[in-house]
This record gives sequence, structure tokens and C-alpha cells, in this order.
Amino acid sequence: MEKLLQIEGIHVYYDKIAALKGVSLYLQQGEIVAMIGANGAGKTTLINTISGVLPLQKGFVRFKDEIISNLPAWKIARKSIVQIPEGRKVFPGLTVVENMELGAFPEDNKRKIREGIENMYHLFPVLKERKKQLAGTLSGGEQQMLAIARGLMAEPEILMFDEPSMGLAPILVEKVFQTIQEINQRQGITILLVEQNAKKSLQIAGRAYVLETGSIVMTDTADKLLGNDMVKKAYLGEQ
Amino acid sequence: MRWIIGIIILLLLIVLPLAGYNCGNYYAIHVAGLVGIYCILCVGLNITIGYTGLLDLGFMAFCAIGAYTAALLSIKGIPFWITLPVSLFLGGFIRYLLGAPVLRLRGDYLAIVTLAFGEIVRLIANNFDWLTNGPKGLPRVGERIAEIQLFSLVFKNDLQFYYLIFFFLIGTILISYRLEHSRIGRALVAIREDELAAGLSGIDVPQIKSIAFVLSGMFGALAGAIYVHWIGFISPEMFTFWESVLLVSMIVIGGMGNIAGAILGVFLLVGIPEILRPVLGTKFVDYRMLIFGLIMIAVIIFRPEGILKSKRRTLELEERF
Repeated sequence: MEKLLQIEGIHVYYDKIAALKGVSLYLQQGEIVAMIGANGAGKTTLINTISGVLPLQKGFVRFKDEIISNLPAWKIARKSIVQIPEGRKVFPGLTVVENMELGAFPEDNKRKIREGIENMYHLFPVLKERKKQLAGTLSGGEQQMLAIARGLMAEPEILMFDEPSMGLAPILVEKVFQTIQEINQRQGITILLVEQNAKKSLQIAGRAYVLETGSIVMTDTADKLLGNDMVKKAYLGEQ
Repeated sequence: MRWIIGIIILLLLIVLPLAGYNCGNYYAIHVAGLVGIYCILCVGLNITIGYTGLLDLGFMAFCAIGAYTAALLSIKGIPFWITLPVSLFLGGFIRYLLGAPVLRLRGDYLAIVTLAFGEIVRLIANNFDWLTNGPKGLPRVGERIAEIQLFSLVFKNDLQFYYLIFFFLIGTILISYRLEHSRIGRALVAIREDELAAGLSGIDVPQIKSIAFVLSGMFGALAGAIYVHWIGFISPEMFTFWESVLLVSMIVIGGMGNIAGAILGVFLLVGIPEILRPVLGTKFVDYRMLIFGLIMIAVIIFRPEGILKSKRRTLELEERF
């Protein structure tokens, strides 16, 4: 199968401190790939580098046939590689509808935007109830739904989630993972899932990478990693 | 209901000055015109400070650029309807050049750069004798700033200028209002709230910021160009750092990101002191700044969003603290 996104030996530094030391990975069309690792392993750095928020010093990121490393974030977003950032980051002073409209900012066609929003109401009925409400007044779970909807409005080919379950009640965590799976299966969107909740993400992912202090230390199918002793001990809390 | 109130206020603003002028209340008309000029400045500056969330401490520089451009051209006998667009263009263009490197910086640095730019413009006006006649101001002896002529109507007295300013103010407000509720306006809010997330949504942050920044500067130039034709004189001391700070204070007190707030701020800081001047005597003027200070402190403590708060801004403040 062809590689939709390929990352080859990237090095990323914060000043002189290396956050990623030669990370390579790839995404294939239509799969869910999980990235697990402890705090400070470099998961968010990786996502932000792909998104163009952080510059990389070595290596490259290739999307289809094009090298996209070091493009600005807004250009990468317009290439339909979309990040749902950590902590949701919806725009609190804009209404639910306005947030979704901004997700489709590059799109000019108003009818298409309206259709997109209708689709989002279908996927997240709660957003329809709240459509005129300012996003800052939503609950954490609703904000996460809105953040996902905003990301989907850009019609992504690759959707990257940075800690989508952070700060949510267990029942909502369940719902978020279900949604991610649904998006992947129904719309065929390729997903890179960065999560602390290793067990849940390995359960829905096809393949997974384990990131440790800036390097990938292990990669395999998610099933095998779920059964791996080292992973069990370090990330799943089992003996 | 809001419509009716709006129309009544609009009618009052049109009819009252006419009545006042015929009763010989010239000073009040003059103050009203001045308030109008400040309103154009503040509604313009509000695009930068309120909508985009960039702190601009040198806004009077663009008022100066507009005023000097209009003055220099009209001394040569060029009519207002040509000097005005030239002023707007030059104001916008210089603002663009200033913004290109600076808008990439974080907020605090932008404040410092705009502050410095404001001083540079004032110092140039003060020292380029051959161009601006230095501190003596324009026009030079024997020269004259041309009158504004609209067909056969020549704008001469304060009342006529009041209506002219009023007309341009309405235009400024409409443009600003349209901007706020447009796609770009929403992008501006997004940038102000979270630049990172805005970029991730595909918004070309530097470009959108630049559009707002330039538009804002053009309103500054507009106010300057009208002002110089009205008063018929300018000198560098009209464009001090203090004036720029005053503009920012008006917006902060009135309510950032809110057109009505910006206008209220002008009334409080320009209108009321001028109205009170004859009532309380000239002594009061000496204490004016003291009272400003107290109002500022009170507003910041009790209502950090400004008197007329914008709903969006309020939520942002809550998110942050």
C-alpha cells in the first residue's frame, strides 16, 4: 500500500535541546495509527512538527509526492492535514457555528460550508442544540466535539489528534474514541492518534509506535503491542 | 426597539447641532466636531487593538502622515477629493511597510515598535524643516491650506465641518461593523484568541493581521486629513506619544472590540472634559488628567472588559484567569 504521509529521520530542537532525535514513521491511506509514550516523550512535538507549527532541523515530511516540511501551519492545514490540538483550543468568543465556519476558512462556497455544518450536526447532535452559544460556555466534552467538528470541516485526508481524551470524564472518553473510530470507518480519514490512554488507543488502532525521549523504540500492529510485556508494564499498568 | 433608538439618536445628531449653531453655541459645535475626529481615530484603532488584539502605542503617527500629506498637497492647490485618497493610500502603505516585519513579533514587541515609530514620525515632522516647516507647523507664512469644496459648496464654518466629519464617521463605523461580521472579522477574533489554533485552521495569520493593521492605519490618516482641512493648521506637537496613549485609554475604558465602546470612550475622555471646561472653569483642566487616572484605575479594577463590554472579550478574559 502506498504511504500517504512519510516522516523520515526528523530532528527537532527547542533551542539546543533535542525533542525528536531522528523519528521515522509513515501513515497509510485509511488506517488509524496510535502514538503512545510518556509525558515529555515528544508526542506533541511530533504532531506540531507535521502541522508546521515547529520547524525541523533534519529529515523530511512527505505528503503524497510532496515534501511539506517547513511549510507554514496554515498551508499544511490547507493541504488537508489537520490537527485537533491538545486542550481543544476552540475559540471561546465565537459561537459554535462560527467555530465550525472557521474550520472551513479556506473554503469560499457558502453552500458547501452550510452542508458541512449540517453533516456535523448529524455526527454531533449536541452541537445543533448549542449552535448559537459561544464556545467558551460549552462543557469540556462539548468543546472536544466542537474541536473535532472544526477539524472535520476542513475536509481532512489526515486527522491528527493530540490527547483528545485529556481532562474528560470516563464516559466522554469512551465517546471520543468511538467518534474517532466512526470518522475513520465512515469517511475513510487517515488518523494519527497521540494519547496518554495507551490501552484505549491501541484498541482502536491498526498499528502503533512507542515514543520514548524523542526516539521511536518500538513499532508493531496494535494487537501485538497490547500483548507485549514491555508495553504492558510501562504503559498499560499491568504486571 | 433598538432600531428606533438608533434612528432617534441619528436624527438628534443631525438636528441638534443645527439648532445649537443658530443659537450661537459655536463652541459646542466645535467640540462635537473634535469628538467626531477622535471617534474616527478610535473606531480605526479599535480594529487593531479590539478586533486583532495588537497593542498599538503609536497610532497618532498615521494621523500625522494623513494630515501632513493632505496639508502639503493642498498648499499646492490640489483639492481635498484628491488629497484625501492620496493620504489614505500613503497612510495605508506606510502602515503596511511597518507591519510587514513587526506583525510577526509577539504583542509586547509590537507595542514597543509602534511606540518608537510614533516618535520617529513626530521627530521627522519636527526636524525636516524643508518639508514640514518644523515646529512652526504648516502652512508657512503666505501659504494656505485649500478649502474643501463639494460642487458649489465650500466648507468653511464648524457646522459644515461637523456634518462632513459626521458623514465620514458613519462611513468608518459601517466599514468597521461590516469587517467585524465578515469572514475576515471572524478570522481576526480567532487570531486574537489563539494564534496557533487559527493557523491550524488554515488562516494565513500574517496576511489577515496585515489587512486589519493597514485598514486601521487608513482610518488614522482619514481623521488627520479631515482635521487639517478643518483647523487649517498642523504642527508636530499635535501628534505626541501622549495622544496615542489617550486613544488607547479611550478604547480600554469604553470597551475593547466594541464600536459603541470606542465611541463612549471618546465621549468620556474628550467630550465631557471639554463640556465641563466652561462649567468648572479653567482650573479644572489642570486636574483633568488626575480624574482620567482615577477613572482608568476604577475601570480596570471593577470592569476590566471596559464599560460597554464585548461578549467575546469577556469570555476570553475568563478563559485566561
